[in-house]
Amino acid sequence: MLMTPSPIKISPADILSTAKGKSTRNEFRRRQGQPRKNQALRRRLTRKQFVAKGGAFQGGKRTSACEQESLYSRIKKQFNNLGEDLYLVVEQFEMVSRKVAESMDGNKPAEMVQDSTDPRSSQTSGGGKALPQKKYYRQRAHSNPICDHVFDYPTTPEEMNWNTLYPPSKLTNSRRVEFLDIGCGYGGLLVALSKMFPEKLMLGLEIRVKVQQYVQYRIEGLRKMYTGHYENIAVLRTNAMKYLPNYFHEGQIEKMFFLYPDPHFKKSKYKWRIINDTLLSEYAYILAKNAKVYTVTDVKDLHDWMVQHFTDHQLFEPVSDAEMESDPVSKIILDSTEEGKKVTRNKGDNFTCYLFSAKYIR
Amino acid sequence: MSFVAANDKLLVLAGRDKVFVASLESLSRETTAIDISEARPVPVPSATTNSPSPKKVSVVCLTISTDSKYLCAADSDKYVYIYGKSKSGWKLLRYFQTEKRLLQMIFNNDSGYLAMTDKCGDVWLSDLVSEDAAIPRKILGHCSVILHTCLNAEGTRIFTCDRDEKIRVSSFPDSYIIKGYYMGHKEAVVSIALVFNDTHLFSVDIESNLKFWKVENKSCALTFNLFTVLRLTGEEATKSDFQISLMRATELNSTKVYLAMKVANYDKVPVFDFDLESLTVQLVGEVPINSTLFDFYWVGTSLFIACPDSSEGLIQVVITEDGKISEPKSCVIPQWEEIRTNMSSFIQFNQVCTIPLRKRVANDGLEKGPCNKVRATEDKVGDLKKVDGKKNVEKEPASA
Repeated sequence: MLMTPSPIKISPADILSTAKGKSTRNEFRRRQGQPRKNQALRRRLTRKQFVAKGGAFQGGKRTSACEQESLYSRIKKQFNNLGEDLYLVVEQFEMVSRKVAESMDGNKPAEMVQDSTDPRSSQTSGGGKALPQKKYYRQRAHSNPICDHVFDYPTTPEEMNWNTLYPPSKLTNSRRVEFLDIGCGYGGLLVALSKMFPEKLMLGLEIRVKVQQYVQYRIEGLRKMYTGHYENIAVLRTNAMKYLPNYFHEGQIEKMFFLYPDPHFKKSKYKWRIINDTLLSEYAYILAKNAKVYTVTDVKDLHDWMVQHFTDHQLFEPVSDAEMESDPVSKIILDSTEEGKKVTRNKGDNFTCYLFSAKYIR
Repeated sequence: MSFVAANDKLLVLAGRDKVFVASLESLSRETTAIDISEARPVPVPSATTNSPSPKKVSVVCLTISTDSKYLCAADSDKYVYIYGKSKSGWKLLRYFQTEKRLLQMIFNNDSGYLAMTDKCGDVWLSDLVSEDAAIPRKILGHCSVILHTCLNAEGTRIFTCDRDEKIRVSSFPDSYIIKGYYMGHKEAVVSIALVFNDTHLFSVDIESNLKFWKVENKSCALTFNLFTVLRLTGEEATKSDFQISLMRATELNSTKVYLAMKVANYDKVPVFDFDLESLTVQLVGEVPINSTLFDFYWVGTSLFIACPDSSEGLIQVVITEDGKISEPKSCVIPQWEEIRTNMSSFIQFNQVCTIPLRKRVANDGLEKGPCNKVRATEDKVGDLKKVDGKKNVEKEPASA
């Protein structure tokens, strides 16, 4: 009697993902139930929705919020020569009113001002007068880390001049960077951690030019707005995969963060992932004994990859759930970054946080 | 791209399809030719084509163990062949396939391990004693291509240098434990050599900066620029693009080391000597080759240079008792014509695969920055221009 085998069910998703090892960001979106990238952008808004987002109708045509002139630029156009002085007056007024509000609230630092003036006009002073706006500093998320970007890096850690990043008061007693955010993005984590650990020096590494510029201007603006605060954070444009030993000594770092790293979905790009077996040895070299490594991602495949690599590596061991819950940092890392907020906004539920401790074998 | 290997007794030359083994005791005796192409497994014909198209394959690197027990050759099809010495000659013991094409292979002193460096910056280890010798495992990796690998005599440390100016020392065979970095070079580090009983290390970069390190505390004691000694600096040198591509070292006694260099686009082999007492480097002599395609190897105080353009045979140069180098002497080898043609075919195949070692922009051409070195202002703009290819990345505000 012939036994016909039951048909094997293969979903289109499996075919797509296994065909030549392809798995792209669009495929990930489809699985998450989100529209494809271009589909989202082409969605036409109704009049009411458009106006609600800050759009306006000028001359019968739609002008979106970004295209409209900001308050500053309108003032500048009307008062050509006086525009700059007026801006200074407005800024001074804002700072004074903020300080008055602080003194009335009992020295509580005020919330960060989100909307600011055009940063390009204040670029000569490094954007230090106000906080920069993210929309002028967007850059493509993917970057080839193996490529020969042109970087400014010291030959040895001793040659690094940390005075350009931190004020001298923070560098007394030969203090060194202890918290490291690899791929810090727009600096959300650094700003949040700065308040929690004011005595620790923190550094964010970012490979993208514009994003690093944004974080730099943001930190400078925060330092001017809140004197004495945010002096323990800084950002550096460098390739963390290649040049970590150029900046840090052996066993220097106490906490290392890999928040929402680039998943590099395709199999041929796996070697570009920030966590792999060869790089973990380098991270273990610069980490101190029992240092902590935090990883967060909303991509399950990348999360499994990272957990597997950390677990297989002899120099890392997972931290217990109890210790993770008692760690104050693990509570803020999900929502402090822009990526984390985006995941929450899109109601993504796949972000996972993992914590590893570095063993010390010498 | 090195095609010469040697130990105290044997000298091995690699050709495109064959490997030639000659005894150093009497080079004029017959050389043994090992046909690598015979050992290649027959490729399985694919379903789409009727007959498999012959793939162009060549040997890419080779090595011989110090006790002459094993001879190992790797080909461009990612196969590694290990031959063992037997009474009737060299017998193929095993072969296996690696993930990527190899650049260099070395045995440790007791021939228990074979460390293989591939073209992607990873080092693989094959444990020849164990049962899974045919399954190499990855032991360490650099982010850029590894240019030279070296093991210490005890077999406890592995030294690797890469294109990103780093020299890394790791434990061996547990190379996930990094022991340290030797930081100081500003260009790709081409070769390293352990000298004086593994207490000191020589390293040279493409711009001929020779550094002398103390292995224990990872400090650079001295730096020498060899091109100034050779007078290869200036505009003409820049046009010819001289670069150090290989360095090999040999010890004369406990205080003197002789270093032979291969300079790309230069048709001589400069030999330098380093004196540990006076801490100086001197040019001892230059061996004229009249060709830019050659390779060499030290065997004790003799330097053997293999050049396919030489019609007579190997060129041998000896370090004399007064510390100078002798006149080059030709060593006639039987079957030299066959060896020559095979070697030139090897060079023709492998020269195309050489990796560019200079970075896109030289560090000297940029402005000063916070690291006391350089800042790339132009390239930042270049980056921005590349990124702005897409429309929705950035919107120019109407006011600007």
